[in-house]
Amino acid sequence: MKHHLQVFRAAVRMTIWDYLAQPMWPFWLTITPFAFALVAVFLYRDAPPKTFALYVVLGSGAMGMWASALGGCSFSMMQERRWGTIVYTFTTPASQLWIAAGRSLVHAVIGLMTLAEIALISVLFLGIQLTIASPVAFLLAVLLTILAFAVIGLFLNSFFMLTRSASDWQNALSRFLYVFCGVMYPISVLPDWLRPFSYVLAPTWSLKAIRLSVEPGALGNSDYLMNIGLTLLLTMVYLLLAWYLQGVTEHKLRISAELERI
Amino acid sequence: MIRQIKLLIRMSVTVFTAIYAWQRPASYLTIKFIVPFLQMSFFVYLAKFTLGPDKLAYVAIGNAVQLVAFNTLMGVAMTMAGEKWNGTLQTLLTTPANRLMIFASRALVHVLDGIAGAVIGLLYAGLFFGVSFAQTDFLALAVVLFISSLTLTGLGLIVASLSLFTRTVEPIMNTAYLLIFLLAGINFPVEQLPVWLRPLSYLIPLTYGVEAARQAIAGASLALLSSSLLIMLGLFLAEGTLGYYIFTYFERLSKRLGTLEMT
Repeated sequence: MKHHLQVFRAAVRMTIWDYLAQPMWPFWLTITPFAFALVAVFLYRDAPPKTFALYVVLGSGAMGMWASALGGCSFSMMQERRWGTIVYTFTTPASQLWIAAGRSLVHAVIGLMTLAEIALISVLFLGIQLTIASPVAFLLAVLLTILAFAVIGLFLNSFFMLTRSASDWQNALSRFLYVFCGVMYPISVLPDWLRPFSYVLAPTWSLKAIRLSVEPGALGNSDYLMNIGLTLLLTMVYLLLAWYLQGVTEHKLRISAELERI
Repeated sequence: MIRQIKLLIRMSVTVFTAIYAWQRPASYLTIKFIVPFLQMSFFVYLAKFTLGPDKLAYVAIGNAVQLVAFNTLMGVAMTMAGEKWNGTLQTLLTTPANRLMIFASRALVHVLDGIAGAVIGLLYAGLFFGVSFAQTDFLALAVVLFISSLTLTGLGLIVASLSLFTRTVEPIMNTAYLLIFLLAGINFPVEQLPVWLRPLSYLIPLTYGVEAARQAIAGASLALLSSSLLIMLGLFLAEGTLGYYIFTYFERLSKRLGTLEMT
């Protein structure tokens, strides 16, 4: 375990260095959710301030985290392919899962930048007041959302190792979560036949928890606790799937020897 | 003239083969069918929640037609960056070939691809988002889509030129696309933008294209849309000329500084 944590810490450090070396990277990773959030600002122009804060401000934060977690993972993989370092990373005795976990976590945290950007625009230019009645509940829900996005990024990492068109899939997958997790609207807006997709996505529940946490007494609210529980449960399922898929992918890549294909 | 057209078609076919021959169908089909459906769904459901069901058609058509930008602008903008990545840019730009022909042959593929993208988007609009085509003037709609796609190559050329001088053009390309997405009246009318932003909207050919497509779907004839189409063609000429000069300027500059292959 100690060895794995060292690998994890090294991956976190390397990803932070990557960001420091390319300071505009977080900006480019989150520019799409930022632009989508600006469109939402116009569409929500007549909504009550509380609805605006719950859906536009918090929703843009979730979109930013997701775009960053997903985009970061796929870009990391594409970069390693282009730089020719992917084979060296792959053939080290360190676990690929822990390397990917370190990367995913940093990328997801960096995505919080969109939340800060939209919150700032909303407070400074639109006069929206952001009041969080249960800061502990809010923080817990945000941390779980980051974890959920990071674990989904980890789960998809195996897939990005197999494809040479990671950016194409990244475009599709980013929008998949925007549609189904109810980031900018409640999932009740979706047709009935589409809702099952929402139910199996952990961020659907963590975002509900975040929205409930702005009300007083959220920690004692059974709805809030149920959403937190479902987020944790689904995140654990993704983690197990990620662990299993990583093994399958590594085995497949060693046989096909297609890792360096760009 | 006929010789030039034949040459253009021959070059376009070669470029098309070079661009897509290596790509797996699954990847291309994802970009062509799945991404547009998801993006349209997101904005249509967002509009359903915020503005009510009455505005669904407005948003669905806007998002369908903007797919020409997703394909044409991005495709054209990436032409030179693609050559750079593949290590063929230096070889290409040291030939005496006509630069306009080099560019046009690469753009033609994306113009057609852009129209195909918008048609797919409009099919989704009809099948899933309740847009009715009962009154549509299909000839007018086809001309609008063609001119919308063609006119975005001017902006694409400007962005593509920058890739001769920058390490990576994707950030500039993404910003250009997202600005168009925000300003071209796709999800809400241009009149709702702050006054100081509106002049920018009117410099984007797609602003007129999206509105003309909405009118064609509602039954407007080609004659009724002619003024919008002429404005789009005027903007195309202006932006295309500007793009061409920027392209030749950066080509000279990159050759002088030896940065053509900088990645």
